[in-house]
Amino acid sequence: MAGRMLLAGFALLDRQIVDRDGRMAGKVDDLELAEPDGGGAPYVTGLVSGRGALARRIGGRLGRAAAWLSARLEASGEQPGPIPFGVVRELGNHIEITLTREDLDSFELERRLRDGVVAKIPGARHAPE
Amino acid sequence: MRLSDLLGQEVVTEGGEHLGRVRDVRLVQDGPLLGTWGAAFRVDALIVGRGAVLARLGLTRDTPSEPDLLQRPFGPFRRRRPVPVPWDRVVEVGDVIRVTDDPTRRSPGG
Amino acid sequence: MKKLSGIALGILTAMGGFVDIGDIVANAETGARFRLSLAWAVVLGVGGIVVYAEMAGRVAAISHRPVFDLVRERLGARMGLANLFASFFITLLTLIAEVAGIALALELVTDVSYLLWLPLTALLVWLVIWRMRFEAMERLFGLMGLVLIAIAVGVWRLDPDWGNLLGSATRPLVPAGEGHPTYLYYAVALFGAAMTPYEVFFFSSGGVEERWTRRDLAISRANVFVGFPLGGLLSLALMASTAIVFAPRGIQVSHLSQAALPTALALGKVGLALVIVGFFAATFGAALETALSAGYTVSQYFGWQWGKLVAPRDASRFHLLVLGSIAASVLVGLTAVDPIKVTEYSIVLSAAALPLTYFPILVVANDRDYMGDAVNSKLGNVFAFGYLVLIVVASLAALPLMIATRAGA
Repeated sequence: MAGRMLLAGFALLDRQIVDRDGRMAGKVDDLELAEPDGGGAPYVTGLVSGRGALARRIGGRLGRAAAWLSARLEASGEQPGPIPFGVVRELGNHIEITLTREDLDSFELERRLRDGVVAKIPGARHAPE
Repeated sequence: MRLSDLLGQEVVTEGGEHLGRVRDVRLVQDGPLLGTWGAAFRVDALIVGRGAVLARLGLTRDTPSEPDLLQRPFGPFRRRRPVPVPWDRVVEVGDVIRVTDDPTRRSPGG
Repeated sequence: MKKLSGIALGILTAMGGFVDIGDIVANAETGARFRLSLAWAVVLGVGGIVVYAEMAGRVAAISHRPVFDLVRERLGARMGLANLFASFFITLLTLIAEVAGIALALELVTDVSYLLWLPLTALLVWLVIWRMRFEAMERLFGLMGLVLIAIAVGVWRLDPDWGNLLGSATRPLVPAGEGHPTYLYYAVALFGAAMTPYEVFFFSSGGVEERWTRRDLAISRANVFVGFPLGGLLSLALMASTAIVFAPRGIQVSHLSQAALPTALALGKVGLALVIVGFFAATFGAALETALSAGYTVSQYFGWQWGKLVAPRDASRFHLLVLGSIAASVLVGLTAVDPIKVTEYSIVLSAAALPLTYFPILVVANDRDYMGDAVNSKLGNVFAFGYLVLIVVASLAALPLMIATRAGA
């Protein structure tokens, strides 16, 4: 079957990921590729989103410093895993997924800052009126 | 493997010819089925050549939706057209990407 | 009134570009030194910001993507990051100056040192961002800033020699006693101030915050075509007022209170009160614009949830960034750095970084994948390319001119 054709760097990389509830859930910082068992061309299995992946792409001294910093910020010390491509709902000028951002590994820092700091400030629970 | 392992890498043929760097990677949606999405995007070809920055800006894209007025001012940069190198020519992805010699061109020996 | 509040976003955005604390003093200063011989730079700048803000607003309405999203997408992770560093730094410098500027406006009224007002003004800025709805915020401060029209009324009441005044605007000559590099330095600074990048960050993000869609294209255009020329008009009126009152007497302007003086002369106490309220509203608006833009740029680069549409707890990193930027601006402000010098530097630095922001807007506004049939018209592209050339020239000239003239001294 002749499928849709697109350029990975142009149409996927650096695009905004939007979750099921319309919340912003990071950028596509890299793509995870897998090679099929029987050989043949690799295919895209996941969207990689998170500071570690971004730092790797930026490279150089700045990238290494950012990678080090991002590893320290990660509570588990592990880099977030890729978002499986199977949960993608739509590809457009942004990328919609069927999960909520709270399901993603990359949400951890936001969650910690929310629960530890922002939610404690009075008036944080409601949108401005 | 990550996409960033391919982007920007130097592409060299087995005959030693430098083709340029990987500007972008062309995907075709005919891979295995993934979750609720459907067919996966399979790597079809490496887009190799110069002018990565302009391509990135969307100025030298080869799609029908290419901004037409932008073609003219940036025309001079478009002369070195990027070439797609089909994935089946890729031999090895390492420090450089090694590919077989272009089968459509007569090799020096034969 | 209803119509006016529909274009409050454009008005508020333009205040930040044309009559924020740095511009108020810079316009008053250039008027006193160069009369209206630099008015062309403001007019040119109005044209440029209109052309590019119109594109940014159109992209926001059709694709719901604000400007820094496009910057990351089109410049990539590395160049996008370079632009983020530059833009964030410039925005923060401006925020430092605006927070101090609000305090200076309060000092004019109360005779209490602006350093004492600083923490309170910063708290107010933060509270507005934390709890006030976006539309309410832009209406309150955008429309309050409109009282600056008093400056234009004052110019008319001063009953100047119009032929002479307009002559200095239509035949731009470098006045005796001023060097060419200094003249050009102020031209680049005025052009750069009109086109500061945080205007398009704020305007396009504001369009997304107001949930613009394709149906709101006319509203977006009205915002652009009324807001920015109005901002330009206010800045020209200020320039004219000091050109009339100070230039013939050879008085140099370096303080906010001097910028209010011509209007006070023309309209008395009422005029003075209106101008001070206007300065307060315009600098407050500019502080909101820059504090929010600091959060917008970083969040949009990294793809975090941003904006005032959701509860603050649902955009934690965005709100912490805004809070941190405001806190930093108070701390720097308390060191008693001259806020006016700070904005002058930030304007020139921003002129140097302009192409990195405006080029991606131009490219995406021409992209049918994003825009469908709402891509730029041919004529629009002629203007956009013309301005792109000017922007590049200004960006290349900015730093050498600043060094050569020791910042217009």
